[in-house]
Amino acid sequence: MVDRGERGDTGPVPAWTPAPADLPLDADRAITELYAAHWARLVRLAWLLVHDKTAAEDVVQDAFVGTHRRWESIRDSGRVVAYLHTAVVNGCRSVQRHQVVVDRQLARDSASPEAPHRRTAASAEERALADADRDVLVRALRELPPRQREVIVLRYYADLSEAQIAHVLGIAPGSVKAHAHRGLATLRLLLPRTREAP
Amino acid sequence: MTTDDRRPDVARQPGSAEGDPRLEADIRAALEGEASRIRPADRLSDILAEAHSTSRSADHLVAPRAPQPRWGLAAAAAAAVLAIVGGALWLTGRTAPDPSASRRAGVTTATTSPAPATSPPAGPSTPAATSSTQPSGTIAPPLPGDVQALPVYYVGPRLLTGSEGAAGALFREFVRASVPTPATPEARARVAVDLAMGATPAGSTYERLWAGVTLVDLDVGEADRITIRLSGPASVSQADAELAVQQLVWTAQAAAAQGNVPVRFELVDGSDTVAGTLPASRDFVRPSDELEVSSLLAPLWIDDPARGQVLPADRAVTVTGQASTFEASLSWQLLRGETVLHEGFTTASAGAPARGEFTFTVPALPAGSYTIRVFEVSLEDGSDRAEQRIPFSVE
Repeated sequence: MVDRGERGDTGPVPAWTPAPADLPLDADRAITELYAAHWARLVRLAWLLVHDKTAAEDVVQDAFVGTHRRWESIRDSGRVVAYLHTAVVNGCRSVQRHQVVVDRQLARDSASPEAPHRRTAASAEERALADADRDVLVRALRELPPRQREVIVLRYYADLSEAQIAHVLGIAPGSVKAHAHRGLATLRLLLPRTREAP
Repeated sequence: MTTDDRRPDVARQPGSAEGDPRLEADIRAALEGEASRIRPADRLSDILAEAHSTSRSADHLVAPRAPQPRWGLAAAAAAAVLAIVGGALWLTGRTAPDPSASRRAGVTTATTSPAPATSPPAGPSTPAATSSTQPSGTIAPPLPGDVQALPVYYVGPRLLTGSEGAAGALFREFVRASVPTPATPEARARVAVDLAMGATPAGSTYERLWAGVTLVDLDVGEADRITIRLSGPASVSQADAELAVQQLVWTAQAAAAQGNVPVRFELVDGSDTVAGTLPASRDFVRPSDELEVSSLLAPLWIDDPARGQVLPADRAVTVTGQASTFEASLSWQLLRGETVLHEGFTTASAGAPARGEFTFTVPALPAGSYTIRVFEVSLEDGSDRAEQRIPFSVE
């Protein structure tokens, strides 16, 4: 598994807030470029929050359409990627508010002949172990209150800094810290006792 | 609880948050693994279509002086605007005596580059075979169809250090090409596959695996299937057969933008193999396994700027692309000829075997022709392991 823990928290990167001059003026071109760079990752981020692939795609599609429609002002703000993240997280929240389908994807997965399980080169045994471990965490993540889950996913999947998460969620950096702390504490409690205490 | 909330190391130092780096590593791994269970469907055309259909009414409220053109109808106008924004008409086709040469060469090469505009030799294309995709050659707008950026996968050397005949890999480029209206997924896929099979872009190190074969037709069926009809099988070694097939599978699927739908080949000459010993009687899809994908795609490629693009002189150049390199590291150089003007390194959003996106910025450049090069340095001996070079110019 790729360990990206070494990348560290370097704060805003150029891609995060490119100068407006670097961004295309034309909305079609901008969206095409943004799509190439961010679509798959944002859909996966949304999927981690709503656990429904179609809903995730819908949410991110809405975010891109919204960006296209307000391109001029979003471009001038220079916070394009932040805007996309905000729109996606908010969209996921609104999906979850009406969520009666939390486990729809899971049900569909097990029923589908083409369940999206990865066929890796690892041995079946290795895979079973890894999956079991991962399942505990994934399930635990889904039990977290929405804010904590959002912070954890933005931090550890989207690799956003505390300041970026604060901006995306529209909350204070201190609150990000608090949500991250509570989320991590809960996750640790939920993990099997077999884990070595630090 | 309250005092813990103020602990400075909670979120600021991800490597040691909560004093449990293993928990953090496990969370990252779990999220990566969970996220990789889905393969997002391609929705770019849906997004653009919806943006244009909804923005017309909304624009009256928001930006009355800049009504959006109707999608499809005014795409040529939009393309013209794009060309001006881009600084020059780098994206429009040029006239060439042979229409197929125009389609092949004009749209894929830097027509305004000061470098000798060497037209790649037009392939032995059969006019009748490609008539259905034939936009007539034009000098300037009005264009025969919509000019769109089509994803095209080319085959190039995977590694720099490889010997003759070493493994190839797929490199994606967004190629500006004219798509006959209406620009259906089928029309886009047809033009993109034709480009993929055709002459390689001038100056590239790509290899043409489909020389001597022409695209007869391409259907995007209602039953979620793409059928590619070819004049005959690829004349490639068995080692390249899978690559040749995957090149067209990736290109057709990307341009049709309907997900990983099965691709079936039909050979007009009656052959029952499509390349090497690969049978024409089966469906081909993209591999879903990360390792298989990483052994098929080039370790790095540049999405922007596009090959031959002309950029304005007074602006920093933002380069974006994808990489699947060790620990996500990659290096870059901005070359004028073989002289390095600027260089640096960056990290992609994910490391091998995953594929990450990267972005870096090159300072504003004076007018001239340049090449942007991204490469991976081998940890074993410090040599350059893999690379991609994209020529562009500044005016």
